[in-house]
Amino acid sequence: MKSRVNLWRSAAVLLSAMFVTQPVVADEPRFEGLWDGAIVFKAAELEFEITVEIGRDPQGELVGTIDQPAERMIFHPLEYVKTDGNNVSFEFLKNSESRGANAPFTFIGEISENGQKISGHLVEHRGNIPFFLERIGEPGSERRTVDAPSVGDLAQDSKELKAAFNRDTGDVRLVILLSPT
Amino acid sequence: MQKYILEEVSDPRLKVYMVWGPMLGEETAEDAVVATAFLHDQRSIHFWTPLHDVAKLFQGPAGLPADELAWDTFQLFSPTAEWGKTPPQPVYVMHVEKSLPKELRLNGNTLRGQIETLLSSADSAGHSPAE
Repeated sequence: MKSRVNLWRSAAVLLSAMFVTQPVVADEPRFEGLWDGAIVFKAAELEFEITVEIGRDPQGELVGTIDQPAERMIFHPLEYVKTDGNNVSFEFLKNSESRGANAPFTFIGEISENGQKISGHLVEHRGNIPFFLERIGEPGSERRTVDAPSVGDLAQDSKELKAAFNRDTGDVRLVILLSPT
Repeated sequence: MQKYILEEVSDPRLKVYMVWGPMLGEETAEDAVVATAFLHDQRSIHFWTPLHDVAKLFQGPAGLPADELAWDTFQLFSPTAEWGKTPPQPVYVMHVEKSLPKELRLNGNTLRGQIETLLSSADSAGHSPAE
């Protein structure tokens, strides 16, 4: 796990080196940045976190990457980033069970007046899915990382869970049983 | 869960036990390690099991029929609940795609509300966060 984190960090450094700060025309919305948000299939029920990083390549063209941790997708390149006034669109390609190889996933959004939020929709074949992004930093800046908590093996009789549960008597306890994939 | 519960409810009297298991059949312990990144909080404890026994243990308390395991359930317990021979009865259950009532389908806001209500009732029962 640690080596994976280091790999991600190394990739972040490499990516940040690729981005070159370019002067922008005053009053034009600025899309360059590190953005955190989610694709909201159903609010508070089914949301997928995303991180989008938009910068400029040495030619001054907008480029970027997208992370979707639930899909184990980190620094996945965006195929294009286009802007038109306050509007932005970007796309990535990914193999999809339902849509085939290298299926395009297209985001169309609009930046807020203060430049801190992008909201829009992901174009899906079954209908558009809302997404939002909030600016959390500059392109190339450190992503939010967390140290993974340890995972204990649970015996067949669940004695470890029982011990922890009863140890915390007096507290409100939530037991969640989930698939990790 | 991270966004709707752990980031919104800071009360240290909330404890979360995550049990990762083979609901779909091919999950691994490594998958569980990766998944913990989505639920990182000092109040949470993570377990991995390659077996279905724990999902059978929580089947009855969740109100599920005998042929339906308790994977994809979220079971909330009061401060006085104690696990004896079997797990106690939860005060509230939410689920994903189980044969439980639709109104109990997982919703982060609803679950947070239930947790906050339970914490408030613990306040009035004399358990304060400072204890």
